[in-house]
Amino acid sequence: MKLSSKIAAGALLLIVFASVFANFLAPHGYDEQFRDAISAGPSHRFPLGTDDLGRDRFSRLLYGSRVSLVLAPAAALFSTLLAGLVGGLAGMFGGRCEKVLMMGTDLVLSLPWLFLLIAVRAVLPLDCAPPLSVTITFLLLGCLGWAPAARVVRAAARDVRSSAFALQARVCGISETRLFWRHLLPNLRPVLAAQFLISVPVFIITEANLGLLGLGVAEPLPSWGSMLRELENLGTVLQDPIRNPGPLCTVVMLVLVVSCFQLLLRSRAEELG
Amino acid sequence: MSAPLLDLRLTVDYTNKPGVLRDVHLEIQRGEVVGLIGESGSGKSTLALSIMRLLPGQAAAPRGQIQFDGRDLLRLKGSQMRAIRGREIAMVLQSPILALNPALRIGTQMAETWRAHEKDASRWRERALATFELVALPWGAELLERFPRQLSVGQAQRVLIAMAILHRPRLLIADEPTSALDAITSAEVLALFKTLSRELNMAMLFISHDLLSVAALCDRLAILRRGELVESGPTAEIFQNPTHGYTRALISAVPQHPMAAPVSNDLMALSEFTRGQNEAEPVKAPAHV
Amino acid sequence: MRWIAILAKQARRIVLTAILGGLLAATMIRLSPGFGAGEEDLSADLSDQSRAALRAQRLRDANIARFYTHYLGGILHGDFGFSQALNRPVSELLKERLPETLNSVLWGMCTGLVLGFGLAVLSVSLKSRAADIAAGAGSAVLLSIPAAALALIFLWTGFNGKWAIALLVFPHIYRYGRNVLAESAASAHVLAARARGLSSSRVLFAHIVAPAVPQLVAAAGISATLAFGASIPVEAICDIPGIGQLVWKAALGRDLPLLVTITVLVAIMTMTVNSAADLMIAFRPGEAHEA
Repeated sequence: MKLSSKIAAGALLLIVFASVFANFLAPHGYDEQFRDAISAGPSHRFPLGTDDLGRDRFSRLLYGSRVSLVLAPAAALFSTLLAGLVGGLAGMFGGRCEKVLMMGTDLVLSLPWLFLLIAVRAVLPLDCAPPLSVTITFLLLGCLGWAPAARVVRAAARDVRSSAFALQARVCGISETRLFWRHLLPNLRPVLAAQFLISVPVFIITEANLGLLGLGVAEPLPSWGSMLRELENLGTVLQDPIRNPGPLCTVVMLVLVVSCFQLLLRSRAEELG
Repeated sequence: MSAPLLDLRLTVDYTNKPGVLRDVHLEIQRGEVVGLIGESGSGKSTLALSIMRLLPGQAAAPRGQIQFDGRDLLRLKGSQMRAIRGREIAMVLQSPILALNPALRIGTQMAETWRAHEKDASRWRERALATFELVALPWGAELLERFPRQLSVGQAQRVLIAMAILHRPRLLIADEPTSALDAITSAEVLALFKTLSRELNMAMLFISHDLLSVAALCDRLAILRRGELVESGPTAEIFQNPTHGYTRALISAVPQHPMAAPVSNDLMALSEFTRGQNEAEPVKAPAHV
Repeated sequence: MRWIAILAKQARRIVLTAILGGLLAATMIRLSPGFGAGEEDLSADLSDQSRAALRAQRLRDANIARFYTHYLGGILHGDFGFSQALNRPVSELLKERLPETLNSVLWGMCTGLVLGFGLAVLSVSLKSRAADIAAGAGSAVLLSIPAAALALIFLWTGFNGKWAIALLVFPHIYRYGRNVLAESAASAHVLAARARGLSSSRVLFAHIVAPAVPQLVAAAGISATLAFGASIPVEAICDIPGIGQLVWKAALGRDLPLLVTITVLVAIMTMTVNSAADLMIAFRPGEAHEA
C-alpha cells in the first residue's frame, strides 16, 4: 500500500480506537453538565471547552465518534448485504426475476435520497429515547441505501454469469448451484467490498445531515451531526476560534475520516487496476 | 550513397522500467521499406512513438539523436514537431476501428487531417477522394458520410492509411497494421503498402512480430530483442544467412508448408529465447494532450 | 420511429414511479403509529362540528384504497390535500415555494456543472499536475462536508444559499467528468489524432471531449438529483422559503401527506430531467442514422 493510504488507515484506526475506548479516555460523561462552566474555553479540565449546557466537548466528541463510527459502518454492512442479495439474484437468474427486482431498485433510486429518508423518518416517532433513535437511524440508512449498490452488483453478477470461465464450468458439467456458490459469490466479494467502502462515508455524512436537521440521533446522546448544530453560532465561533474550537474540530474530524476512506478506496482501486 | 532519410541512435528508459531501448541504431533510405521485427515487450512501439515524439508522460526523455532530413527531431520545439507529424512523417496504428474517433464522420476526420497542415481548406474533398482511389476504396463520396462503426475492419484500415498519406509524407511508420486483420485482408493491405511505397516514393518503417508478412514487403530487416538491435540487413541475406541466434530461432519458428520438402525446424533453439518473456508492452497512449 | 419508442418508455417509467410512489406513501401514512388519533381531539379551539368533520375525514382516510383514490382524484383537480402542520392547502404552499426552489436549484445545478466540467477539461488538458491535485483536493474536501454544515458556513458568510448548492454539486461532477475525460484521453484515436499533427485544442475538443459527451450529459442529469437533495439542508438552514424548507418543517411536524406529495413531485421532476438527458444522448448524430 502506498504511504498515503497507510497513513489514512492508521489515522482511521486511531480514531476508531479512541472512540471504542471512550469510556476510559473521556475525562467526563457525555451528558454531565457542569453548571459552573457554561460555554467555557479550553482548559486543562475541559480540553475543548464546554457547550452551552456545560457539557465537556471533548468527551462528547469521543462518544459522538463512537455513534458515527459504529452506526455508519453497521448500516453500510446491512445495506451492502441487501444490495448483494437483490443484485446477485437479479444478475444470476435474469429474466422475470431480474426485471422485477430492477424495477423496484429503479423506483427506490428515482426518489431523491434525502427526501426519502426524511419522509420515512417522519413516519416514525420523533421524540424517542436515544438508543431507539440510533436503531431507527441505522435501519433507515440500511433499508434505503442499498439501491445504487444493487445496480453495480447486478452488473457484476451479469458479467460473471456470461463470462468465459462460467461457460467453461458449464461445459465441464458443473451444476448451477455449485456455479452460484463457487464462482459467482467469490467474484462478487470485491464488488461488495468496494460498495461497502463507498457507502460508509456517504452514511457518515448523511447521518451528520440528519443530525443537523434535528432528525438524527436524539439528545443527550452526542453524534457528529448534533454536535455540528453548534455551528449555528458560526459568528461567535469564527470570531474566537480558540475559545470555541468544538464545532470546527467536529468538522475537521468529519472531513478527515471521510477523506481517509476516500483515499483508501482510491488506492484499492489503483491496486486492482 | 546519399544521406539516409532517417538516421536514429536512441536510448529510452521508462521511470519504472529501464532499458526499453538500448543504443538502437537504425537507418532508413529514401523510398526504402524497412521491417522492424520483435515480439511484444521488445520496444518496437516505443521506437515508433519516439520518432513521433509521442511517448507517454512517464517515459524519461529519449537520449540520442533522430536525424530526419538533416534535422534532429529530438531538438525540435513542440510546434515544429507538430508541423512534421502527419505531413513529413505519418503513422498508422494497430487497431483500425479504435484509431478512428467514433463520434465524428469519416469526412470530418479527413477534413481536419487536411486542415492540420494546409491553410486552404477547400481542396480537401478532391484530395481525399483521390487518396481513397490510391488505397483502393472506390466509393469514396459515400464513405465520407459514414461513421467509423459502420465500416468493416478492412475498410477502416484503408481509411487510416488514406489519412496517413493525405499529405504525401516521406516516411510512413506502420505499427503492426495487419495484426487485427484476417489473412486475406492482411495480404491485401500488405500489397497496398508495397504499391504505395513505389508510387509515392515513400519510405516505410513496418513494425511487426510476424516474419512472413515483412519478408514479402520489406527491402531491409532489423531484428529487435529486449531493447537491443541484434541484427539488420537486406531481407534476402537475413533469411539465407542469419548470424544471430535469435534470428535463426525466429526463422526456424516459421511453420513450413506441409507439402514442402521437410527442413529441420530447430524448435529447441527457441526455448532459450521464450523463457521468461511475454512481458506486456509498457507503452500506452499518453494521458494528456 | 425510435424517438417515439424512447419517449414512450420514459413516460411510462415516470408515470409508474408516480403511481407506485404514491401507493408506497399512502401505505406509510396508513401504517404509521398515531394515525388513528386525531390532533383535533387535543385542540380546544375547534367547534364540535369541525371536529366531527375532521374525524370523519380521518376515518375515510383509514381505508387505504379510498384514501388513495381520494388523493388521486384530488390531484387531478389540482387539489393536493391540506397540510395539518402549516394549516394551509398544499397547492398554495407549492405555488409559493416552488419558484424559489427552482431558482436556487437550477442556478446551483448549472454553476456546479460549469465549474465541474470546466475544471475537469482543464485538468485533462493542462500538463501541470499541481492544478489537477489542487482541484482534486478541493473536491475531496467538499465531498466530505455535510450539506448542512456547508449551508451553515454560507449562512455566516452571507453568500446566497444557491452557491452552497453549486458547491455541493460541483465535486461530484468534477470527479466523474475528470475520470470520463481521462479515460477518453487514453484511447487509441487520440494518439492517432496527435500523430496526424492536429493542434492540441482540436484534439482536446473533437477527440477527447466529443466522444465523452453522452456520459457527460448523463452526469448532468444526475446533477439535478444532487441539487434537489442538497436543497433540503440548504434551504432549512439558510431560511430560504422553498420546497426543501417545507419538507423539513413537514418532517418536524410529522405532516405526512405533505411530505408524500412533495417527495413524489420532486421525484417526477428529477426523473424528467434524467429522461431528457437520456433522450439527448439517443439523438446525437450517428445514432439517428442507424436503421
